[in-house]
Amino acid sequence: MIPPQFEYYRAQSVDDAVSALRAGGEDAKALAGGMSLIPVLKMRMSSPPLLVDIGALQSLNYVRVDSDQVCVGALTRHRDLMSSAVLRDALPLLADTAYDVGDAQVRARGTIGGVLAHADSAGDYCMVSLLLDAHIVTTDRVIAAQDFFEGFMETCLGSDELITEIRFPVSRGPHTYIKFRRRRSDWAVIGVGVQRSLDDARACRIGLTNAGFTVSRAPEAEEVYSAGGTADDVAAAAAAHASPLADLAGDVEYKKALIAELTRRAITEVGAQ
Amino acid sequence: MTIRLATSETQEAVREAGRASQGPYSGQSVPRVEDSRLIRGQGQYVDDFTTSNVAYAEIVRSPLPHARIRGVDTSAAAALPGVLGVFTGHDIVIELHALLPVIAAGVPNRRQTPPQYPIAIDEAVYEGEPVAVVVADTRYGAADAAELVAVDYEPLPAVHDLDAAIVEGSGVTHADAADNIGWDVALPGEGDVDAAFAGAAVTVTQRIVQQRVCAASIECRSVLADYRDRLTVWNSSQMPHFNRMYVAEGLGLPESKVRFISPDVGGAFGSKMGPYAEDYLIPIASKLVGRPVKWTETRSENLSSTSHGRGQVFDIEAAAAADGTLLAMKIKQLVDIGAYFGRTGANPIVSVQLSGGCYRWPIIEARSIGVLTNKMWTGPYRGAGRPEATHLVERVMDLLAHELHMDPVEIRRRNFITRFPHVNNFGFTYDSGGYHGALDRALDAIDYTGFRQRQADLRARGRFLGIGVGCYVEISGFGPSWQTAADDHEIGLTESAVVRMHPSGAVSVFAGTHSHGQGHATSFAQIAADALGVALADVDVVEGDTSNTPFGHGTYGSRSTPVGGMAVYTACQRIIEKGTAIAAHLLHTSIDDVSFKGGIFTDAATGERRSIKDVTLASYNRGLPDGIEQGMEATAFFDPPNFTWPFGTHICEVEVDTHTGVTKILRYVAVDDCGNIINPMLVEGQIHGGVLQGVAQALLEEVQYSEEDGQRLGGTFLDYLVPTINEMVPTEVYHTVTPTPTNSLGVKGVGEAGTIASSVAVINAICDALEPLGVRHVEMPASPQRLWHLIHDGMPAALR
Repeated sequence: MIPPQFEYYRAQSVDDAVSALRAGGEDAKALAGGMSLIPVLKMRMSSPPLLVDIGALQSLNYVRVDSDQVCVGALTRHRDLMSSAVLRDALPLLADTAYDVGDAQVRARGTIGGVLAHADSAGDYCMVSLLLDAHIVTTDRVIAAQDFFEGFMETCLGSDELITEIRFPVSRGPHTYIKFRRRRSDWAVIGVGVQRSLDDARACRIGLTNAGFTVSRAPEAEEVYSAGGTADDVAAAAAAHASPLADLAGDVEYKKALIAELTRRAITEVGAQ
Repeated sequence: MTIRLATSETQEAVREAGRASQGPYSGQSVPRVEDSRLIRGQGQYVDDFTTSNVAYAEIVRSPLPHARIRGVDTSAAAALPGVLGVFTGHDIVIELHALLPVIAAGVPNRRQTPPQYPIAIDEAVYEGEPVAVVVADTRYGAADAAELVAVDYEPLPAVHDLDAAIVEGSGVTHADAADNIGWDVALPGEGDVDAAFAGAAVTVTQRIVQQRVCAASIECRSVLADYRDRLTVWNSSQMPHFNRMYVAEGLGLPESKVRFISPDVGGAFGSKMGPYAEDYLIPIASKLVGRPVKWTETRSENLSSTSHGRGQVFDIEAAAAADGTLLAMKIKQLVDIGAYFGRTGANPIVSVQLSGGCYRWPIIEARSIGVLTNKMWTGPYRGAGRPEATHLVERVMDLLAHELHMDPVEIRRRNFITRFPHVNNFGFTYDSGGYHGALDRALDAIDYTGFRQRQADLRARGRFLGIGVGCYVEISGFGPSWQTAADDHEIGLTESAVVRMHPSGAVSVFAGTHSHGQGHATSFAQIAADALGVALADVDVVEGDTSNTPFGHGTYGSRSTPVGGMAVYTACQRIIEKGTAIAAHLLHTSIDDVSFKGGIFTDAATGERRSIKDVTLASYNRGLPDGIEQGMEATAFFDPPNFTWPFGTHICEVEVDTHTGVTKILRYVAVDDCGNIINPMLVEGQIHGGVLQGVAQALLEEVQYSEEDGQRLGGTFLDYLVPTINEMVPTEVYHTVTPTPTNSLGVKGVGEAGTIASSVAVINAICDALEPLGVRHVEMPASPQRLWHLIHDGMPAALR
């Protein structure tokens, strides 16, 4: 668990970080909370020549509500998200999600921008951002979440492009996020997030965590819901159209059963709210 | 989560123990004296130690389960600045005087014990086997250089499946071997087993698999070796004296010129018994580079290259009469040795020898086959043979009860051993027991009758609750030399202590055991303080350094209190004996008139008294009577006449979510009887940890290998599921107290007890819960995926 040698640069500002990354070339990496990058380095699965540490950029740690938008700074840590009163009011799904990420140590270090940039299919915020059509603000542009995730741990971010903010629509409607885990602080084997509109009881978004190469929405299941389908119908649609990958935690058949069951529970829960 | 401490039952046990030991400390939940240091980060583990000019080693390991090594090119690594040496098997073997030992006592009728070098030479036979050792100025430099060592591997087929491995003509673990059979031994029963089966009302047949697990101690293994005119080795180990003995032999040094120091050890669970390859490689590396060398295992290495536990498969047939009376059992055991014996030989046969459990079996006929495979070797892991035996027999009891339509509790009651001492089917003598009492206590605590009613009510509403009983008797306190020193070349597993009273009256206890979490600094101090009648705070317990402790066997097999504690107690008795003579001299009376109690020597005739403190000072003073040497210290080697045989009943209540396959533990009751209790808090801690470890085997942990090519799958804590505090089982701890006649403290071991019945209590509960769905048996780990398939496979889609 000894990482290979790398240059380390502690950025003083966002601009400073971008120029450092640019100077460092294609393989330079930004280091935020380090909860995924450090283990990758320690196992020598990656050997970036330069790490640009953006962890100290306090200017990117905030939660603001701007009329119908919730703006979250990229370096806002899980712990700050879960304890933000503003967030709890305007986007409780995200606050709940943060509360259930990893363990206390991870929540103290990890950042929302880091999760998105890592783009793990099991990344809870990746699902939430896709679910709510969030916009990801970078040093260069604003990217819709559906365009952001490109494949297995792949995003459209350039090598010198940093996420600075994530913009979610204010969502106060009934919601839930059910994660299935072997141990309390594990990544989700499967997760199902549901956000219902506050105004329209038949408008409901359903997102899936770790149910394929990337996080995904379940549009067919959403349609079944809006057409008045039962929780079982919605669950069946979600499972039927999902393409989970087999791994040590479960084969495809079992994971599809989990998608159906968690969706059924999530829809039942949200319907009851 | 509730962790219940100090139940009223425990308090009763405390009073009982207190009476037995006649001292103020024994039987009390004295806070652990080591905790203040450990919880403030003042613990010192091997990796915390340093000396001047330390260099660092990195081990290059085979990534393949089986390969021929066509060549190792070390030139690029050696050329890296700061690299002091890169050593291959060919370099190491020149320095080697003896190979790694095969612990002979546990290996019956050896067919083959492949010679084990600490490093692969021409053939690598398990993933993680050392292939080269890189030594550099810094740990980072060593890791960088290790990446540059180019090993030319020719992959060979890997042996991994036990059934396939014992078929004649199958592939072999070692290229030059004829087959994979390490041992094949019959343990015939007395009587006609076939006739017993023929006359049975019911018989059951079942395969039971004990999956491989990792010990995953928080502190990984670590070695710091300083080779000069003598060799000093800091080594994270349960048994520093044993490792010194083997490593001295391996390096061709007199044992007296080698010092092993095991400082604080951060967990072991049997996995740090050793000796390991690195215990040889690092001292050799130190010799070759002429500097102290340190190596600390990474977590990845710990999961691949520290011995695995369990890894046994049993094919069982059992027969019972219509009234539930047990008639006979046949067992075929396959033991997954791994590529080398390591310490495998020490325990798997225990699984068979204790397979009868708490019950009277007229006949048990067994066959044990040790199978060599291209995997890390299996070794002792908390319980080491007893969880396997208990799992086996307690599953069999439930299966027989099921066939007989009998309550699982009832079949146990009808077959319990009730008279002690009891000689079991394989010649072991159970010292004392009260199996009905422990069972009754557990049934009462969990309200068994009430549960059955609730279970029926909830089943009607589509919920699946189950209850599982695990009764156990186990072997602890290893062990009497007449049973453990198998031949003239072995040494018996006695234990030692030196107790020294200093002129001030303060006491040092030097013990041959080595605590790695057990709390000897507290429990041994309690024993010594009570025996000598001194204040607990005046006693200091020293362990782990071969230069100041007597030869001892270390800490494993729940032996430290019943064997090591008895050595402490015996040494204290010798001091009292000498003190009595000195006191008689001081009191101008005869020895026969002097009694000792609570630290005071009293002249029965005059009532005049001398404290042990005064007597101790006098022992270092002038004018001692003829024949009495100065000083107040004694050495004792305690050789127990028998093992001790703790027992108990664990009962677990679960609910299985049939939609996801998740098992939730609703309640867990543990009733354990380890004889008299020195420190109830330490005992409860052992039970809590042990239960969690057994439950984790039942639900979470498994080292997995590819069925295709035998490659280990996963290999990090992301996929190897060690339980965390979140997975803690809310264990309700109770005791019955049945002192052992085997030692004068009346104590039995308890370090492993919690693990022994817990995995089967969980599995029995799951089987009970899923019985209406046609599930008869569940293998471990009972993962959600496994249970879901058991429930749903073959079920019409409409019913899912």
